[in-house]
Amino acid sequence: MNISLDWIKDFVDLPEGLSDRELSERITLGVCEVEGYERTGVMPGKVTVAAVRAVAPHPDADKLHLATVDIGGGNEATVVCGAPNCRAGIKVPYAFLGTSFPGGFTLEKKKIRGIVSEGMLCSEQELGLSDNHEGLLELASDAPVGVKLSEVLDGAVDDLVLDIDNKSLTHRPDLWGHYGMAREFAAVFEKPFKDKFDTSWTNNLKARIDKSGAKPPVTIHVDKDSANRGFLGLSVDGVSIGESPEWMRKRLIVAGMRPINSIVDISNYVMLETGIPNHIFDRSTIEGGKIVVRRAGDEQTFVTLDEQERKLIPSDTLVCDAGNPSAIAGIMGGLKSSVADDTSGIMIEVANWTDAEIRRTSTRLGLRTDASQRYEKSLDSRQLEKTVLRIFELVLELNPEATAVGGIQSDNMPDPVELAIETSPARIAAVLGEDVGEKRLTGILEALGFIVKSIPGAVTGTDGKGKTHLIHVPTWRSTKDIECEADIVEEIGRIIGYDSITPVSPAHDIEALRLSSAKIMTRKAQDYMVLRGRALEVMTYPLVGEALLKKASWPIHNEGLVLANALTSEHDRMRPSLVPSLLEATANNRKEHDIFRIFEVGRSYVDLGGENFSRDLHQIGVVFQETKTNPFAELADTMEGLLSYLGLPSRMVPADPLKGNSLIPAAWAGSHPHEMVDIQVMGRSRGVILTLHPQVGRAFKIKGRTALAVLDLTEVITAGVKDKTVFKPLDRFPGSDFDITVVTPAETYAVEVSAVVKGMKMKELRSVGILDVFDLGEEGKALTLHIEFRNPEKTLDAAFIKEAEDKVITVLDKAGFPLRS
Amino acid sequence: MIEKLKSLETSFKKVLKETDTEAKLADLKARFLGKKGELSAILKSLAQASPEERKTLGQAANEMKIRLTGKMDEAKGAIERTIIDSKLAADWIDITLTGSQRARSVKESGLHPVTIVQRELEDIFLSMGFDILDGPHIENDFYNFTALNIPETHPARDMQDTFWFKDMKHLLRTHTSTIQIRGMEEKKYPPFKFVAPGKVFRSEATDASHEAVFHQMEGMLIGRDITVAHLIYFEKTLLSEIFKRDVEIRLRPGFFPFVEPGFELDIQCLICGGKGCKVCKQTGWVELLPCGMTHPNVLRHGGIDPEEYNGFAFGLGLDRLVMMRYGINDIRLLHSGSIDFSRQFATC
Ligand SMILES: [Zn+2]
Repeated sequence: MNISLDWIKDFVDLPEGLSDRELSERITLGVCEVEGYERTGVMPGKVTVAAVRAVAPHPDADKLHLATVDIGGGNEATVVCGAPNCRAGIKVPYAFLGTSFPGGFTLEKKKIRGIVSEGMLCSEQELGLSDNHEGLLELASDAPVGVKLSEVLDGAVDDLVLDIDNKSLTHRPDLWGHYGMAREFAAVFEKPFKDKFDTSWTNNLKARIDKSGAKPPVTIHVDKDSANRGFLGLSVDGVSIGESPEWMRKRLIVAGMRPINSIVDISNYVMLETGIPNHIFDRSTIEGGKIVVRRAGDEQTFVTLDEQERKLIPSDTLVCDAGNPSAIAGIMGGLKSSVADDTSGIMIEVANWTDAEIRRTSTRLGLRTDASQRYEKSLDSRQLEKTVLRIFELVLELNPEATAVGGIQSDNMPDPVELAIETSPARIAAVLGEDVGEKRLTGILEALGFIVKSIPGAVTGTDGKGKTHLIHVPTWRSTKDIECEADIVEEIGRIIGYDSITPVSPAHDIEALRLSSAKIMTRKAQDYMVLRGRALEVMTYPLVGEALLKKASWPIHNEGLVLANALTSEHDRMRPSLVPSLLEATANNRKEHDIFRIFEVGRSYVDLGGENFSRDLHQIGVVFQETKTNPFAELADTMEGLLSYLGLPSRMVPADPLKGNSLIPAAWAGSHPHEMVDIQVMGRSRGVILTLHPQVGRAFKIKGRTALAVLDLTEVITAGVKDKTVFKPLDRFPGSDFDITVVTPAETYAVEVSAVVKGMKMKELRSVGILDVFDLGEEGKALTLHIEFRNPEKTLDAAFIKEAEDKVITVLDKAGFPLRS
Repeated sequence: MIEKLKSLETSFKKVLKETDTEAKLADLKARFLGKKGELSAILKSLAQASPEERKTLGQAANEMKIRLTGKMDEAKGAIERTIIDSKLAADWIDITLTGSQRARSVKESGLHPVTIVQRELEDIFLSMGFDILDGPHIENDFYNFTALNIPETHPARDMQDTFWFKDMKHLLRTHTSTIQIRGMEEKKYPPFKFVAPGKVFRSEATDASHEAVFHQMEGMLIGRDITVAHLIYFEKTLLSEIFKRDVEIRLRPGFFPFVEPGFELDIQCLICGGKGCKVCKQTGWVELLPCGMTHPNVLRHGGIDPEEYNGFAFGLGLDRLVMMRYGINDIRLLHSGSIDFSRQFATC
């Protein structure tokens, strides 16, 4: 929204000597965000009246002239000028070097085609007066040379326009007009607020209305159940329509509105002043002499002023006459609502509507207007009468013969809600950390329209928490913004300026603090994956679409976790697993790289249905991508190491892809028929490692070999892990190593063989490991075990060793794994 | 006799110079120091000398023997080293060929930039006594709106901002402010302070500077008699640590339903030092974080009595800090899953 400082000055005298930047900054710090500011007129004193004495052609340019101008005080200047109307004898605006123009450019000394121009002669466009740039602005022949342009030209009023960020006014319905904004300027700059619309002003205008005494030509009927919060109508006769005066047009332009005709301009002007939208009816278009405000009910469509047919719903509120709707309440009028040129009888309508209803309708219709964006801030119904009177005043100013017919009409006007808040200067100081004293506090609040009264007999008390004052909130602030004591604190804080508060450290409580166990585990997992897993951390979208799930043949589609308002079908639901996201990322990376490792610490989401609705699962997903070598074993190594590093007791158990496990659906097409391991952590299936089935790999165009793993940490992450390591004394006596090679069927898991030896429960058996596997073709494979015997009490003797080795051989042989001869 | 010893030592040194193999070294030892060697011969001839002469010469001969033996050990070590070095030469490797020099640095690894910056912030907050909390992405109306003093009719609830699920009761959290309530419920007894980093979701068309999924970090401090003066002191300390230099800050009114008074916190532009430049749109200040004194209604919803306790809250745009730190020009890269993106940050 644009705020004209010239307009503000109707209501407050601002201090002298403030720079534009300073002024904008004080408003930003105390009231609302000034996004930018601009001068409309010309820098005062820099543009003056000059007389052109002579014009000569430019030696090096056909279209340019050299003008010799009298700039007053006996001084002359030579100016390079290209305007076709530049000729001796005329008076024109002359800009000195250093002048800042409304367009943002500053006139600097420079050569134009080899000749230095000592200043510039200006067109209307350059001065920001109009779009006309066809030639120099020719001034009256009697204009005195050397005086400021603003003294001889009405339109050249110097104005500062502030561009206010509308978002920063979300909670301030009172700041959507210059009148309310001026009150803030008065408070910020500690100047009196000149309320033009005071009681005597009101009484004077009301007196002129009451004189008419006639029966009102239009009556108002408001349905109580509609979205209305107040509706006033005033009929006026003897109005003619024409062009509005220059000053009004200028302010409308500055505020960003196009002047149309005197009636429409008055309507807009007053909206920009009091902040209350309004409408001026051509009374001849009001059928049956009555206005009815009601819900749309059966009405299905309405054609708005912009010739669009709008679909209505029964709960929309309409403004109608005896026959048809004339406007969608608070948003936009219909085709008939414009005022014809031959209108003479008008009706001024000023209404207020429920904020939420206007917002809902305007959002649904995709139709946001100057009116609706004000109504949705929750306007104060107490401002309606002021607005009617101001419109009436301006109508009278432009039509001195005009008369009101009948009084101001209304129906079912709601009573305003009075709000008073108890507090005390001490309580406010206790929150700000700065005591402004009772006098200043009262001064600030009164400048903002609050009424401050002390509560008889109330005391602050020893704890300083006693409420000693009652603050009456002005109605224009109590509709939405001001609700409680904290709001009063803000009023004081922003006006004194938060800069004036001395920063103080909060008192420090001694406490020991460490990262939560969940954080520690997450960080350890990430570090491990980087340092040992040698993988890159990535992030993928927690939202997926059905297409991706289908591509991954993922059978769970999380139908219960589909968004009502997704941006795209690609991201319309919460992912049921990290796997499809990781496959997508793998496919994307595979376009440029053939070998890589990625991991994500992310969430997937379970559709629980019912009251519980959903659950976030905290997981780690890993992909190892290779060209030819099978990455499964390295990934399995990595996952095993990760679990050990996290201190989680775990077991890796070969899994049946047809049955799936806790993380992989049964018979998932992406599971390799043999390469799938269930990771059991603390006795439950919480992870998986598998090789991607080439068929699903093909669907994603992932060439090469892909192994992936997912580990679910949801439960273990919050439980935390105790370090249960207990030191064992170092061995004092040597042990004995024994390697043995047995023959096994090709598809026997090596761990089954070592398990046979471990199962012997021999107390000297320290460890069993797989040393080597050798493919024997049809005979199966040769498996070499490395076995270590040790007795912590003594050196093992040869007889024992021989006996132990024999036992191992026998047990393995019995288990079907004969010694390889 | 003395001359004989001297000439023996001279000729020893001469031969030693040409001794470059273990075999020659053995010859040398035999010729000069062996049982039948030259020194033995000289010592044998000592038998005819006078007792005094024997004593002096014997001592000189012994000292010389020690000297020569020492020289021979030195030579032995040198010869061995030459032999080993010639073997090592056969094992030559290119010591400049480290991972970073290889065309296809297969196993580059590293953390995501959001993780890097998030950890740094977590550590700063932890050092100031803030616990680090977490919460669900899928939330209900209460935690995301109602409890935060955002009423039914507030524009923040509009469809265009919030991702709602089809039941219209659950939603994707639009801010980490949900943890204000969850944190108060968990901590129960003030004083306490915590932050909550994490993903948030907005139904917003994406472009280089807008994402539907992004990261925030919420912070809250609750205690007795907390003031705006405390908030300013705290934010200044925090931001000076984050930017690793003294920063100037200012508060101006900002409207957020869950704080009152609410502020927009600006920091003095780090590019121009407040003089005005493109980055700060000539204002000298850059809007950085929203903050404010916790609204009494929010305290009540969190089970805290606002007459007894109060505090402040703030929200950091984590992604924006990440992008500022590394000069990342497109926010969408953060969730792209791209290794070409991830590999640029502190890889190993
Ligand atoms: Zn700057």
